[in-house]
Amino acid sequence: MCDSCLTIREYSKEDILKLREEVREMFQHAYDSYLRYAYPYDELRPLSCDGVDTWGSYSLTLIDALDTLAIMGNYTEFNRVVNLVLQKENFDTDINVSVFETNIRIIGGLLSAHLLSHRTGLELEPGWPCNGPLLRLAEDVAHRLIAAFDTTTGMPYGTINLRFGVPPGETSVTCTAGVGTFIVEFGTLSRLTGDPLYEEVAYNALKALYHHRSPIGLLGNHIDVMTGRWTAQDAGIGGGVDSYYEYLVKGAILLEKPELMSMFKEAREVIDKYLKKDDWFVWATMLRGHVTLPVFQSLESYWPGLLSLIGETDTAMRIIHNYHSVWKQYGFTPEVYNLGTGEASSSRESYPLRPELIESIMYLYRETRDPILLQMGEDILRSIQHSARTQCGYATIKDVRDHRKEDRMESFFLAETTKYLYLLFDPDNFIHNPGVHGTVINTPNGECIVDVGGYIFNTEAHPIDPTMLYCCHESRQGINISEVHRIYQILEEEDNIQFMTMIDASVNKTVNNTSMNDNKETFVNDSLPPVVNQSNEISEDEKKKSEKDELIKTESKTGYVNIDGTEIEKTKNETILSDIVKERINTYYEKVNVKGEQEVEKFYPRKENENKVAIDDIIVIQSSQEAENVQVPSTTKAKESLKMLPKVIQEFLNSDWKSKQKCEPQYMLERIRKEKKYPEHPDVHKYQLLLTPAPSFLQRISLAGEFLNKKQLEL
Amino acid sequence: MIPTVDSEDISQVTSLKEKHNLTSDVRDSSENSQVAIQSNNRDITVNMLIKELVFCIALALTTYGALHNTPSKVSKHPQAVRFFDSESVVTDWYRGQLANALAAVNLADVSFIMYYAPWDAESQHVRSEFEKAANVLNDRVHFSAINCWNPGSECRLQHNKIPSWPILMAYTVNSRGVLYKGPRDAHHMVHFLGLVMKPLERVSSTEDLVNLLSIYDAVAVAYTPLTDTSKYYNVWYNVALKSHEFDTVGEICFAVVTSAELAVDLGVESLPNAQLMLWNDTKEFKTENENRSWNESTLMQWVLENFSQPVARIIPMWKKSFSFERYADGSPMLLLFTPLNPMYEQLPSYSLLREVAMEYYNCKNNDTNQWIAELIKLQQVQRLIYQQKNFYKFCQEYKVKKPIRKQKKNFYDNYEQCHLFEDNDSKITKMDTDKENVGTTMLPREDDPLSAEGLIQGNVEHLCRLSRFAAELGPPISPAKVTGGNITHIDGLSCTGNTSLHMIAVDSVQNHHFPEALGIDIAREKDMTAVVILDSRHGSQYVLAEEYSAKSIRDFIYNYTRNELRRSLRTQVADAVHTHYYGLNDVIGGDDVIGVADLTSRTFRRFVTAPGTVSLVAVCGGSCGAHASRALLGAARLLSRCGVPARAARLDAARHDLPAHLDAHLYPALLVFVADGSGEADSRVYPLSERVSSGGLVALALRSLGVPHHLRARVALCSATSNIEKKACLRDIREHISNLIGTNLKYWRRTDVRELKDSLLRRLQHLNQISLHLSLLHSTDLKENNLKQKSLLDAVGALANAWRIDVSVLRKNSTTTNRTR
Repeated sequence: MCDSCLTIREYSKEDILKLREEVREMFQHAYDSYLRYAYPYDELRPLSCDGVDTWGSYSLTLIDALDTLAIMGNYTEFNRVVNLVLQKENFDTDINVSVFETNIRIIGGLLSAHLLSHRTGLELEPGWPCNGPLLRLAEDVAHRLIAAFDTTTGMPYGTINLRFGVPPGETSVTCTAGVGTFIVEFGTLSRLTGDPLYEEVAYNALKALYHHRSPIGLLGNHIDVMTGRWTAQDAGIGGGVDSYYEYLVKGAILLEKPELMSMFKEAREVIDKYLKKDDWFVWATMLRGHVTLPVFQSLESYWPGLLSLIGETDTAMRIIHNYHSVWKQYGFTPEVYNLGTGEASSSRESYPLRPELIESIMYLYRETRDPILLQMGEDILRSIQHSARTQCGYATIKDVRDHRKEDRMESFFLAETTKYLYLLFDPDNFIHNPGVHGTVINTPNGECIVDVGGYIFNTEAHPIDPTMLYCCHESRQGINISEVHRIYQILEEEDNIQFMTMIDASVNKTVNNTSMNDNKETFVNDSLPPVVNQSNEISEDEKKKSEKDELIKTESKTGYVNIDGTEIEKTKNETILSDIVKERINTYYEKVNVKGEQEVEKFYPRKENENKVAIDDIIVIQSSQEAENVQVPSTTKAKESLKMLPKVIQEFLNSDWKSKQKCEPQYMLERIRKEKKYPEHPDVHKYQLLLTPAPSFLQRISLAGEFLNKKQLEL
Repeated sequence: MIPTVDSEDISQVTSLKEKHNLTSDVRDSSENSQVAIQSNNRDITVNMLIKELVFCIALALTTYGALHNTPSKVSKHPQAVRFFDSESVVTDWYRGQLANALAAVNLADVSFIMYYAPWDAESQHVRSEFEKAANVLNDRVHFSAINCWNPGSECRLQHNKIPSWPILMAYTVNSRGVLYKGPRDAHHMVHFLGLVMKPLERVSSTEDLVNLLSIYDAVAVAYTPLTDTSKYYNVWYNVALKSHEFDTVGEICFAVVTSAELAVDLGVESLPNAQLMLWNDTKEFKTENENRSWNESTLMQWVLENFSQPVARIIPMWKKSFSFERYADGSPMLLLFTPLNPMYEQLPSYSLLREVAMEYYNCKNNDTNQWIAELIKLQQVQRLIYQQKNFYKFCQEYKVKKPIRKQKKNFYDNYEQCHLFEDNDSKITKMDTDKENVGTTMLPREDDPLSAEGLIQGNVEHLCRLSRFAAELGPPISPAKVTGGNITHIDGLSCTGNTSLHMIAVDSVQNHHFPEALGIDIAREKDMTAVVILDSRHGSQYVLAEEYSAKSIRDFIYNYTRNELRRSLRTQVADAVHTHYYGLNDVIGGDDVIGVADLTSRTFRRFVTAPGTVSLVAVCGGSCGAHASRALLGAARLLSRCGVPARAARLDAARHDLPAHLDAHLYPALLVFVADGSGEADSRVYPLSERVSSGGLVALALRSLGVPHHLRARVALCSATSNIEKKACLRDIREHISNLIGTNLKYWRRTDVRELKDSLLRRLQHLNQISLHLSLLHSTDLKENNLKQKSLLDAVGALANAWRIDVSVLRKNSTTTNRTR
């Protein structure tokens, strides 16, 4: 092993590449062993050197590791494995799988492989990226999972049978992450294929969760998807909740949905208020925010990476230093680390080669290029090499305190841990493209620019190129003409206001004052069609009044200055004028926004109606929908009584359930659309939320573990 | 039948086990882990079921029993193996034999112990540095390493909670050990061990004391006359030793006066006593009136509380810390980046800044004004003497075996205290003369390493070895000589303004990342030395352009105080070896790969002022998001296709500063620049509240270009779209023109400036013309060489000539912001 090789603490380009090659070897060792000993089972057992089925029996590790091959540049193997995977026509097998895991690992893996296949020289079907065998396979899986969402709340079950849908007697309790971790994959799927089903269903589940937040804004970690009752009310950011927050941010960026970001920012404020203690995050009751468990979970380490996505690298760096200190203590992060005693929990002391810490390190290094992050990365690499490596693979650490190994290698070791490590040490990887080049592809939709960087990783580290989604979803023959027109008008109006102000300033003062209001009036009439409702008019009048007041004030000032001298007058006048301009522009924007929202409100119901009509035309009777609505809760009742019987008999009694009615996705979608259980989020068009704040000036010396406190940064 | 049941049963058992192990988290949520349990049970009858049930129970019992005895495979913890080479001078107790290790420690005068964990990357790294230090000092210090992680080992049992590896401890015969917290490289370690071996300086005359003051930032002197028990002296000795836990490079010199007469001469009345002599003050340790006793902890606390220095030396420890925090109070910071080699006794470039700082802070109204002025002079002389010394030459000549004593005498004429063998030398000289008179049975002096001669020689050799070792890290650095011109005096300048500078020195060899993050390519600076002022209030930084010298640094500070410095823009140090860059690689790929110019602070201006093109620039913090980049590229391509030459570029605002007026608060900020040919560029920002799209960016570019250009491009744009949309596109243009006429009419009505009215009128005439042509144009006319289109474009051309309005007429009456269109 690597006892002889020296650890490097200061890294030249060559050193980085050396580390990169070491990671590649690490991946190769585990991957080859999987192929040799474990394929076609789900996972490799690295101590006994054989395979085992864990999450399903769909060669999980193979699919999960697929895009790592592409990222490491092993295109021939990637293509070989794609063909191997494609031998499977669908996932029609009678097994019960976790909806969450299948989504992030299988659908995520297939989608990213599909989107990356243009790099590897794989023969592409016409219509790629909106069409292709891997995409179809991913859709097949998603289609099998969709039945899980057929619940009263719109939140999915945790387990599903790939052939028959929700198994009888299945618990309706799902963890928060199991509800809110679909938008990235399902959104991608919808936008690539054009079928809105997946995105809407996933989005609805997210809204459902948001709707069920506690009065203070926290979420518990397990919820009953039938009743909407929280069964576990501990709020935290770790296990059971983690990827819900992650997908709010990633979904917002990937799908350009500001409302998701708004939901995240709202949640974050609460988290910082109740859960954040000294740059650690604890668990608290969701209703009151009382601390229940002062622990750090290995899974929480994704948080700094998430913060770096919204531009808060300074906070992220503080947190990651804390997390890394746990790594330094044990060489791994235990599943649960007790913050009170400063020790690993004695019941949850394992480390299944989790990627979250290295993931955050990778994101943060990309943003800050702080060399201390490379040291952290190397710490991780060395520990794994020293203590987790076996004859055939890398093994879960059973106890971080003495580094005993367990006979398991989860598929995320190949999909995530090695991928993030590799990306940390490969600064020139195409994934890191900061937006310096793009590729032009021709699709039936016209020309698309893709591969400009900014990949969004799903929670299983499968990268999705947002531009491909845009390409299949929105790009209509090159350009959206009405968008040009719209923005142009906004800008023109801005200029008009400015010019007008200038003219006004030049004319007689008293005339100015009155005419200004005239102008305002006409202007309002111009820009707003008669849609304006009364309340709006009132508020506008008020605004105008206050504006008038202010204008009078400024006038008196200018008069005063006029007597005094000319030099000062100019500058003062200028600032006042520019203030006026700013103010007017702001009021203009407010109006525009009001207008926009009104339009949306106005059009929305109409659209609904249209849709309904259309679908009613195609698909039969409405009564079936109602029947379905009733039927859903009744099944739960049946289930509860069933639970009392022994398992084998339960199964026997249910032997005919599988032939019974199945969830019809279109009905479900219709129901969701019709019910509109959860109100539209107000921030749907606040695109400003997607921007990230600029770092403060002094943050430039915040490096290598040196921090300034918050107030100082704001100075 | 049976095998099915059997395997199923096992799978159930294992799945139950999993449930037990892994609870309530996503990845492993237990309700998700039931896999493939219900398989082909569908066709079996009740009869079979009962049979199966019996089997099931029986098998469940047996398998459970079997599994209970051998739970799923778990390996042993990693076996302890040698960490250091077997030939290494470091004794490696890799099985964690603590007692044995401590026994060895007790035998040595000074020992240095490394407690490591074999898996730890830092331990693995320190291993080689530790060994390097051991090779230099192994004749004086005992080096040991103990694996204190190995489960079940003696060391692990005793020290169960080590939060971070490795732990380095220095032990002397009579101390409980000094924890080493400094940088973990060989040079710092060797220097630290030097301090541990000789923690106290003896002051035997006033000159000695003056000398120490001229070298160190602060001197802590204790007056402890030697008594029978030497109790006070011992306490002070331990304080000095312990102080190096906090002061790893020896900024505070601990000195001791052991003669009562000298103490009286120095004005000390009661004994024992201690003084902390700082650059601007002398603190007394008062035992009587403040209820303090002469013990280690109070003395230690007293020294640390009162210590202050004119120039703060910050040693980033590469772990979470807040070293800069004290200095970031809104006042500007002056940072000196220079090699601070711990092995050199003095660091002239640091000393220079210290002198300058003392001068800067030395306000006239101060009582200590005089004292500081003198101290500055003393330090200056000391620095100049030191700069002239050449240890390398001395060591070379020493090897030639000239008469040792003479040589050394000369050397010592200008060689001062606080040095390793000054005391020894004088003592030994005396003893030597005694010995010669007596004549003993001692061994002949040659070949005896413990003879006086031998000891001196050994000491000199040691010194030379250390200075060779020091040179490995870098040669001695001194500031440039001032050749001509008067040196500005900055005495008391800190009191003249509202704010005063904080002065900070940071090592530029091990922490080159700091200057590099400020955009200074430190490796290329002369002597790796650079000076920066960071002014957080104005968000600007200033870099000293000239070479660092007594004159340039004073001018720099002087000009800063008078606001005469030019703000320097930080830019990426592209080829800095260690802070490498994402995405600088050359783009490889076919024709379908299109590039975005990656701007820096330097290339930015030239790019945006290039005449004849529109520049679309995305200012991102770090890398740009996919949607912004896509929109940028799409817009540039579309504009070019519509006859507007456009280029796309990005700028990483996290590494590059922009001119102050372009500072963005939110990223990505999308800017459009239209150069007017005179070297300036008009810029316009994308509205923040709008979704970033190529359409929007095109609109922004067209808007900045002006109406005539815009109309031309819009027509071209319409012809580029599909037939269905052409109609809508033309309708948009018509609507736009009528709006334009409306607004211009409004302007005309509002203004009473004659010239403006005229030009607006001209505008309106042309606009009406265009409106006419436009209404005649059908969507099928949007092709090349079409007459209707041509006449429209001609009309637009005519408008272009009449469009420009001289806004200065308005400015005569009042002024306002710059843009009009």
